[in-house]
Amino acid sequence: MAERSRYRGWTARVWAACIVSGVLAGCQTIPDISSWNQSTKDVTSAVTTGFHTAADVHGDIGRRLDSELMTKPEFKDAATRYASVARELQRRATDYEKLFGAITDYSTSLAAIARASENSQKTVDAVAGSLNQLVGAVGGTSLTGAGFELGKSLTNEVIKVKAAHDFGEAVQKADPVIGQISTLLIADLADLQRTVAESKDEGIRVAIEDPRKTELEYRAALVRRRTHLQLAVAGAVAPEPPPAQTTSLLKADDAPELAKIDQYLRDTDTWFIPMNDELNRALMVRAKSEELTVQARRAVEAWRDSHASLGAAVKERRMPESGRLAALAVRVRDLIAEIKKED
Amino acid sequence: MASNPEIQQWADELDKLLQKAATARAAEDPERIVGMQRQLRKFKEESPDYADALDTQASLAIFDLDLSVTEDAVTKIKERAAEV
Repeated sequence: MAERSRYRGWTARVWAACIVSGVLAGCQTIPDISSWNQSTKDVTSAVTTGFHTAADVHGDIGRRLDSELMTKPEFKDAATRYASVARELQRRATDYEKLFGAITDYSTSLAAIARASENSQKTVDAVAGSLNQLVGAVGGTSLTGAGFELGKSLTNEVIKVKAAHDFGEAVQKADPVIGQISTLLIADLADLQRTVAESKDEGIRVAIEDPRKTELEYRAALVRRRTHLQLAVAGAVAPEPPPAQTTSLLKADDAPELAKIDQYLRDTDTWFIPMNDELNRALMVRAKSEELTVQARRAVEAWRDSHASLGAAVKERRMPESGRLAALAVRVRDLIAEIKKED
Repeated sequence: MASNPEIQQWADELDKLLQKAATARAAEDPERIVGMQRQLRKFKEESPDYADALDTQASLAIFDLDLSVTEDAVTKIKERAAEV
């Protein structure tokens, strides 16, 4: 009898625990979206660093062409044009910093709301509020032109979000805003990539090498002479008799002259090696900058797709699709670290 | 000092390259543009020291090819900002 009573008590406790956990699970309708929030910060960093780095690449060429070391007044016009491109890209970087500040606020708000797990009108209003800030941020940049269609359509979306009934629906209603901003960004990043494409390399080379043109010509002549002497000396010491043509080139003082030329070449290393390192560094930064714009564009696409899945994920109580976005974020972080190392 | 015909030969060579560069620029083909820039650099490397004025023209063409791509891209970015 006592045993049966103990059994009943145990069963009741198990049921009570099940009911409580069931109720809690029911309340937990909003999944943790903090990883999506982190990815948003990585996308932010990719886009703004992409614009800043591209601006730096152009600014650097402009400064070199305008420097006192450059003796060619003919290059002044190109210097002005590169500097103007740098300024324009810097301006766009500032716009995107403002815009992404608001996007990050929106994303952080979503994560905070998700952590609170409260699915109420207050939650929906919070989503609408952060989206409203985003609309305000677009207005505060020079991304707002005469037409300002984006701003108008964004405002309409905020109204729709306010009318939503739950968090998932509110996020889904916010999706066109993210979609429009992403479309703008993807197109801009494709053009940004063109500004730091391979066609920049020869310009960088001229900007770095031209102030050393005379020295480079002297060094090239030394290299030619050394190659010529090396062939002659190699022919002289070969076990087989050298062909007639080489024999005619051979002189008794070729070997000492070769040593002398080698020494002259080593002397040029004092300026040639640093200049070459500088050139290779500038070419590498240009290449990394291009790769960053490509990865940033892919990250924005993945970020847009991930946001599109966010509303459905909330409704279906699962994590949003962010695997591709997370993988791209890692590559973007590495690239940014590599570029900063070269600064 | 180089003779006039010698310089003229190099000038003709550069002229051909500049015409090809203009075609590549008009075609807006990135690969052709980079290819032309490399040919212009080769010209600078192979031309004699006294052809400095020609080398300067080749360098200007290298910049111009790059800036044509760059400025077109920046214009599109600016236009897009004005459109939205």
